[in-house]
Amino acid sequence: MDEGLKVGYFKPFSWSNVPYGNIRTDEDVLLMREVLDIQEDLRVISPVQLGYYYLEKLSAMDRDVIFETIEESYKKLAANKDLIVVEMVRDVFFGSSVSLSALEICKRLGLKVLMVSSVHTDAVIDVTVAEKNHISWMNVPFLGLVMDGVADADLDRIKRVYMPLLEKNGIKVWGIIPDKTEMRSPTALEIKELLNAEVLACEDKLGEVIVEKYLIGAMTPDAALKYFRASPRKAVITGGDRPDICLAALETDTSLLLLTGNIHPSPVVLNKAQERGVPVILVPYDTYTTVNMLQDIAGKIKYGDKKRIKLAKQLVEENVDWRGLLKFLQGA
Amino acid sequence: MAVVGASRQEGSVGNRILTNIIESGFNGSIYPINPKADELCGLKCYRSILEVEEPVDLAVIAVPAAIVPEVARQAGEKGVKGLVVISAGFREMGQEGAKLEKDLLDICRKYGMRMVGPNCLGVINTSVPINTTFASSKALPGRIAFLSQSGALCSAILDWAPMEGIGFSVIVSLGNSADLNVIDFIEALKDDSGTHVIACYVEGINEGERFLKVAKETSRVKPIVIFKAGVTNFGIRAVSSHTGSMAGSAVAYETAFKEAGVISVNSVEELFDNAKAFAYQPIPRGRNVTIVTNAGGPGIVATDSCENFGLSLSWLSTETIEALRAILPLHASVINPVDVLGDATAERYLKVLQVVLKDHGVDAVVVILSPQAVTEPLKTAEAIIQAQRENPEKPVLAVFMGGEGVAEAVKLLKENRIPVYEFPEKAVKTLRNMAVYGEFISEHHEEEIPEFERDLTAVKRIIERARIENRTVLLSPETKAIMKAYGIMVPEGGFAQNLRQAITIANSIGYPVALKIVSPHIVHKTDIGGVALNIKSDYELENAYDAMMRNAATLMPQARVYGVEVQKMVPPGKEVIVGVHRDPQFGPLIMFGLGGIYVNLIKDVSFRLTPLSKRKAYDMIMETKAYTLLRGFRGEVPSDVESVVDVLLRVSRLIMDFWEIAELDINPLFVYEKGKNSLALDVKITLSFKR
Repeated sequence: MDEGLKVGYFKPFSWSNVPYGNIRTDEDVLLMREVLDIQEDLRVISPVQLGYYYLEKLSAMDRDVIFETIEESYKKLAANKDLIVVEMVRDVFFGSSVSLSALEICKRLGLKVLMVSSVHTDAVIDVTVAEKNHISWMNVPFLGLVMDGVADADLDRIKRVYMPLLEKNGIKVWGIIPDKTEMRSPTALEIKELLNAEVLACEDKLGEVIVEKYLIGAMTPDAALKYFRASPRKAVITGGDRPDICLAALETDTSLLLLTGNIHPSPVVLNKAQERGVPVILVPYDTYTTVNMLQDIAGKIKYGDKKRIKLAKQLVEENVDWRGLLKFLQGA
Repeated sequence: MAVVGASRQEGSVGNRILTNIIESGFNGSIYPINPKADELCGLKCYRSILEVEEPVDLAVIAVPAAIVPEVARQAGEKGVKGLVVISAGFREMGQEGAKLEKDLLDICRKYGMRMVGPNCLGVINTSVPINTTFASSKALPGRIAFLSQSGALCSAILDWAPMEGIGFSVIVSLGNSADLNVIDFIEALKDDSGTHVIACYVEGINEGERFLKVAKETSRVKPIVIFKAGVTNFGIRAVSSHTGSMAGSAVAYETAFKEAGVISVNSVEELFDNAKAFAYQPIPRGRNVTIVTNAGGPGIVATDSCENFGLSLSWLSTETIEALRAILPLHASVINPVDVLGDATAERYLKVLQVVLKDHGVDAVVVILSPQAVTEPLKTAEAIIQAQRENPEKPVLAVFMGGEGVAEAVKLLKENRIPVYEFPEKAVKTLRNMAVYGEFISEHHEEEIPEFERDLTAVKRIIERARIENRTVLLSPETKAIMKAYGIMVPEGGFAQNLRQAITIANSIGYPVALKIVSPHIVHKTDIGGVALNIKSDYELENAYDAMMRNAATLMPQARVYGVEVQKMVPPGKEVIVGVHRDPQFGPLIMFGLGGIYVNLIKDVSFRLTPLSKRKAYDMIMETKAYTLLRGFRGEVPSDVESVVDVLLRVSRLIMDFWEIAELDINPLFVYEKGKNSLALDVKITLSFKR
């Protein structure tokens, strides 16, 4: 879009259905619609809705009808666009058993394949090469690979071992996007919303701080400081009847104080939290229930998450040769 | 002085304060302030402090919290120098109160006023005299200054003390200590000639390092006795919700008190047991105590207490023994404890006391009396008073056991400034504290803090990298590098990102080697098979490396593995621990103790605050049983204690150079034979980037 191109987005199969208005759709679809400012109906952007047991639905439908629906939507979207980003589900093999794999859709719509993958073990490289071979064998044009979520610790191995291997197998790497905790860790606000918690201090800070780790404060006050110091940017889960634990947490790098059991803390604890700028939230559940509820929280970019969208753009800008990729795409 | 919120209504705080000030005999001008009255207690009343024509030095404020800042502002405009804010409803009441307290403090700062409180009982000074409290009891004049973080305890003590004949120079109820805190008062009382001992009830101390400095200086001049409450786990909880300040650990307080020469006690009772002795008795020159008793049993109890509390029974000189023989009946004991027998009269007590107090080997005397058939309690009390007057350089503590039979005598002793106790243990324990204090003031404390060659840049670089990567727990290769930068020896070795590098390192340092996994996410390396010892060849190294990577991938798949640490296997030494914990109040607390797997069981540890001097480092080693082990136990060759001292001093330097280091553990430190140094085998460092 920055280059003056009209960019569209299409996701033939939508996944992880979430309710939106009166229909169910895919979080990625909502996100991309917002990012690219797409006006078309959600059902056009993502015509086929699937869930966990997707084969039951796909095998019951007529393959040709599915193909036609997809093609029709795609044509509608592509009509006035210079470029369409088509997102598939999981990998190139998804839907193979009902002859609706990503590659078959690519062939039908005349798409080119760019793989995006996190690379942290040897096996990922083997699978990537195998997928690439499969793509070539299917005669679908292949653009290359973008590595995503790469940890600092893996960089050396990637450069020394993986890059030469990928190159040897004809896989062009367009970029290596580093792993950023801000991208995957939830903000205190997300936790507050998930738990529907009452805010007792620093409401204004909730959206600013991210939570990388959860620690349960049930130890003696002497031991607490040692544990808390070892974990920066954490949420400390404890009861309002443990002011000693709360103060120890406030003494260290704590993003959120999550109090359980509906016990209000002493006012002096809240004063200290306010002073230190650490949000405090309160839930009626016990610690066990609270922790179980937190299992579901995965820091994923959601639509409306301006901060993460901005950060994602910045990461791509800094780490991916997207201009080169665009040129390659236009030339090919 | 002005009393803002003075009132006519009897029983109200404002009324009580005004009458207390008047009744205290304050000889300056008193200006009651109340917009609804023209005259109060016979004094002209003003609508506001600004209407007072004369200058005002001090304002006592007892109006609702919400209007306190405005009253303070007017006081500031008027040029008032000090405020005593009695009103409650500030920090202790929540966030709005906290804001109000901050506003109040800002006003004080702006006008250069100092403030006691808010939320306090008030201040008493018996030499001015002035009493700004709203307590209904009056304080007797005396030599004890009492500072209390609890107002309620103040009122209780005020009520109780006259009964005990205890008098005060100053009483300060500290309240929320928004401006002036316990340290400020200790500092001020240092030069108050009317105060001979400072007794404090403390729940928490906020400026630990300043406290240490002020208390150290003050202790040289006069004793400070502190009862620190809230030391148990539940006690800490209670203090936390009361004061809102992170309690330093009990051991940090204990260490700080010890280093500052502060007498630390464990109850309110003990606080005054000590205060009354320190206030009126001289400090003993040593730990040699003579017990004079008219009863065998209590004499034995006192003797046991002496040994239990670390005092010794004085060896009486031949002359003393001879003299005692001449005074006492044949079957009386003339060696310590001196038994004057059940039929002792006041005269016998007097003669015996005169003799033992003259003996140069006697540093202090405990006189015990049990009321028996011919005992003369009152006359004996007189005898004790006389004997002490004749020998004012030695402390005499009395133990008068009993009730009504000794009441009159006890009263007389109290009036004549002889501390008197119901039972021997309390007297002996007090005497022990006096002896420890005596040792503190006679020792030379200013000691050189040694300097070392060190590579600051190397450490800075490591800390900076951790900060960027947002890690607070340093990796083993990093902690080893920090040790090296500070001249602390570690086993030879290095960090390898892959097998090839590991083999290169192993070959350069020579087999056998140890292999340890390096990952910020794996804390307990041994639990997941992340440590392999005694590897003797390339082949074994390869096997160990593969097993380690496989273990990590299966047991902790989410952990990022940076690589492995290759370390030369070293011969076993004596295992000790050196640790540092940065206390939120008192700063770095250094620990030394016996190492090995039983460390948590045996808890043979000692603590000191930084900076360490060579002497402090030696002292802390000698306090432990580990010292006996290092010195060579049952014919073992002595270990290199000097190298342990050196490690302690270097660690002290490191922790002072880098505020970011919050925790440090060298566990174990292998100590070798004398002259063969010691090696830091495993070093853990946790950083904190919050000041």
